[in-house]
Amino acid sequence: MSTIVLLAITGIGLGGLYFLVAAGLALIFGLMRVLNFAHGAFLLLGGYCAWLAGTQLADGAAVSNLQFAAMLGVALSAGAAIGTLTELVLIRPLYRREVAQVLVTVGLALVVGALVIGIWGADPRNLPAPEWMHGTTGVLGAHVPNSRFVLIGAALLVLAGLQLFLRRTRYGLIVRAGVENRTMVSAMGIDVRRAFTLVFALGGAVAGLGGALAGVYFGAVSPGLGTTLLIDAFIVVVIGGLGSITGAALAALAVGLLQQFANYYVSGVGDLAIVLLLALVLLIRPRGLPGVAGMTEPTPAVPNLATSGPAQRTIRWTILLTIVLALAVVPWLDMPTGGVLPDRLNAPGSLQVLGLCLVFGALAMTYDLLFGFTGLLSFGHALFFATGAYTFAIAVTVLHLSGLEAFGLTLGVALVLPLAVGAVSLRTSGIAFAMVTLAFAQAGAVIVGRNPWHATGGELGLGMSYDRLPQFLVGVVNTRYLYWICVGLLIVVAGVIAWLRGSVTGRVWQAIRENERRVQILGLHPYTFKLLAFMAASFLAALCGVAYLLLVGGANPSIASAEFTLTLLVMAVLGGAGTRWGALVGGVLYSFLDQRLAGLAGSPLFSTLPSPLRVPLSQPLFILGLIFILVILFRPAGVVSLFGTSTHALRRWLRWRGLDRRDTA
Amino acid sequence: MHVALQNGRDDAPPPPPILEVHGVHVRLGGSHILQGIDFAVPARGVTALLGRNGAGKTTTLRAILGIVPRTGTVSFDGESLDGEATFRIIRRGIGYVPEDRDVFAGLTVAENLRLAERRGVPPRYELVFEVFPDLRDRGRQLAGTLSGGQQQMLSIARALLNPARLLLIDEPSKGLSPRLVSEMVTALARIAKDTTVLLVEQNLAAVHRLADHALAITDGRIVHAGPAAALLHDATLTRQLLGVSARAGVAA
Repeated sequence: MSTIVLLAITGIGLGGLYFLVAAGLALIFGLMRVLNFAHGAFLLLGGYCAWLAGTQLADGAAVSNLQFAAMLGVALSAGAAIGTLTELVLIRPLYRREVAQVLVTVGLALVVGALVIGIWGADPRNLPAPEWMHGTTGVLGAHVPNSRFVLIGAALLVLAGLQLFLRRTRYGLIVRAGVENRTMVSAMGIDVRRAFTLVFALGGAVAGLGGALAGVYFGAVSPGLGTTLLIDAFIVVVIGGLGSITGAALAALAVGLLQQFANYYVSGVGDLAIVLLLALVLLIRPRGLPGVAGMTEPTPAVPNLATSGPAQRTIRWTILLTIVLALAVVPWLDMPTGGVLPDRLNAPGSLQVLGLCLVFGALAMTYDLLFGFTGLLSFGHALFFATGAYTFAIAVTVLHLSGLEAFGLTLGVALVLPLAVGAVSLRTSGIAFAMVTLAFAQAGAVIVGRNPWHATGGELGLGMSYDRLPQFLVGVVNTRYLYWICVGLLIVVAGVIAWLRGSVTGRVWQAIRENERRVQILGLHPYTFKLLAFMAASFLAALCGVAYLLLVGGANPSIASAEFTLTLLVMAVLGGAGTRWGALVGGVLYSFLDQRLAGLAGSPLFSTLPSPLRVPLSQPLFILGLIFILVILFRPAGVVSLFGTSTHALRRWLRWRGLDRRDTA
Repeated sequence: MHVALQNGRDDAPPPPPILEVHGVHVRLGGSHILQGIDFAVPARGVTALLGRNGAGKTTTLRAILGIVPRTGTVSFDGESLDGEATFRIIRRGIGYVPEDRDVFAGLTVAENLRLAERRGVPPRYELVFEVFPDLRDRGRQLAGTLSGGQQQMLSIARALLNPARLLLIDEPSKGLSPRLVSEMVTALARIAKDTTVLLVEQNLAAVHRLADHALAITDGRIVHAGPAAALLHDATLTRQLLGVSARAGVAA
């Protein structure tokens, strides 16, 4: 009995925490249709500001009640401030570009997360709290930690406050009307943008409070706090019906309770249980969720070289072959790289950096086949990359198969798993699809982390056994062969994708992105075509996973995480989603900066910089996030659009030489 | 092409038009919907904007209010509306009754009306309840549970709550039974006594009873402007411009 009481009350407390994070998300999504990925950053900042205030106010781990209230006040204000700033600086300029609004919050999440690590380090910081909060209270024989009651109380207060705001104030009225029809609210003479700012400020304030209380719940604040709670909050918001405060409160309660009880009876399956609950809810009533029409922005006009004349095709093939040849001969070029790469050009360290760039370039292309080309926003692509890496690693290390057998097994799994996942998740579309794929990916990440039968290595990752692999793949001296495998992978992936895009199926995918209903009217079944795209992209991603595994020598759980899929999204958009080479350029650029900026930060050049400059610049994700935000704001078509002007010049030159026949045709 | 409208009276010089639209183009999702619209709405009376389905009538109203991006110039009472946000255009004294009513279904009737209230402007509840007495007793009802006709009344009532110098009303008779159309026309006639109206309407009988002036739009261009009666009584012209027989329409 006392166990059940304890589980119930701690479950409700956890639900309270989830509600604090989810309330702002639901409010923002309801009014603005923006899935705010920066919400975790608001929370993180709130938590750290509370910690800062706490360390200023008290010396030890204990603070007075008044001091604690002051800490919460600081967290609340910090959250409100960053929420307001986000809306004014990042969201407002992207009005009418809803997808870009979501993407910019992804960038902000990266930037804030990296800044927090840069300034306060990666270690958890103990949050001071009043003495009584560390104690317990007896309820029906159970000793319930007092902090759970604090969470429950705070959640109830916030719920009541938000309801009062929505039901009793004029701005609440505007928000409720705006959730239904934003355009009509402005057509009644109301400045709906003020309501947007207010909702961001409110959501940020509640998230900031949630961050501080999460610090109380876990005893400390750490940089990972935001992302972990954000994914749980997404699940709560989706189960609660996207945008409804009461729905979010009920869902938070259900999720908190389910997680506590599941974790108690079968150790560690709490996360899996809520993911299953989410999948169930989505499959039972996918229509209850608003789909988001036109998830991708209109494709920028890219010169379509496939339809160009024979002379141009020759030039194009010449350029491609030159690039491939240049990539292939790199292991023979003994050249200095001036610090751009860790060593001389053909040294194993440099080849590994380049190989990883090629793998991530290829992987970003497979993601863009889904996102940019077919218009499917998936948050689960990492699952298939990880499937490739882990299946091969397990086959070789645990099952002791030979390299060829392991590869065969991986290909099989890479066909079957996407078929199953795609068949289920494609029953939904838009944001709901994104969420179901997120749920599947999260389930994958949980399984990898739980280390079933000691097969995945859990949090530590799985080192690969080289016993039964061909000799040329083993050892640092053979890095060049691994590098060539990466070049080969890129050729295969780019070739298959180019072939698919040019095929009839590819045309249908493009049509689905533009307008799915019209495809249906043509008598085609979009579901089948989307499933094909999903399987093709996932299969190729699994191939990338194998190459990654061979190059790195092991599989680590981070490649199965939801954050990793976000990274792919960032790569595709950075380069130019939906364009021929954009994702490749974005993937190569991202992974190069990600690997090398950390190295540069340790260089003597950096250590001479003053710390306000050095700290953010030493975080690769800070710089990448910043570049990403700037690209979204000022170069919506991606980095490749920078080359637009140069291709234009090339075309003019070709026309002058009489080589371009398109304009005369 | 700018079409000046006759004001119907020959003696006094006509007052300047309340709304002037010049060279307005609208492109949405790759289609060129308005292709250089020019017209003026006279300072008094009801001006009907007529045309077949898809001709661009609704888009014209939405372009005036800045709900869809447009080029060209629009001026209201001599002041330019170009580049102005929708809510500011409305606050200058334009009321908007959209096609399909667009009442807020999850809000009560009273809340729908309260949303329209503006700071410093006394709401005209007496006028609203005089024109639509039905709404007075339904304050606590959710707007989504109202009948189509009642929703239309609420939609007009919202626009009527603040004094407006011009009302843009989009197909108020759409989907209503003949009896309700007749009630609606009576209400609109009462409103038009003291407010200038730009009315989009397919029901020619209603146009016949309400409109003083008429504009006809075809394929995104204004192709006719003049007194309403003259257009409606010219069977050839109505068939050519609107694809219907005016006599049948008026008789209906």
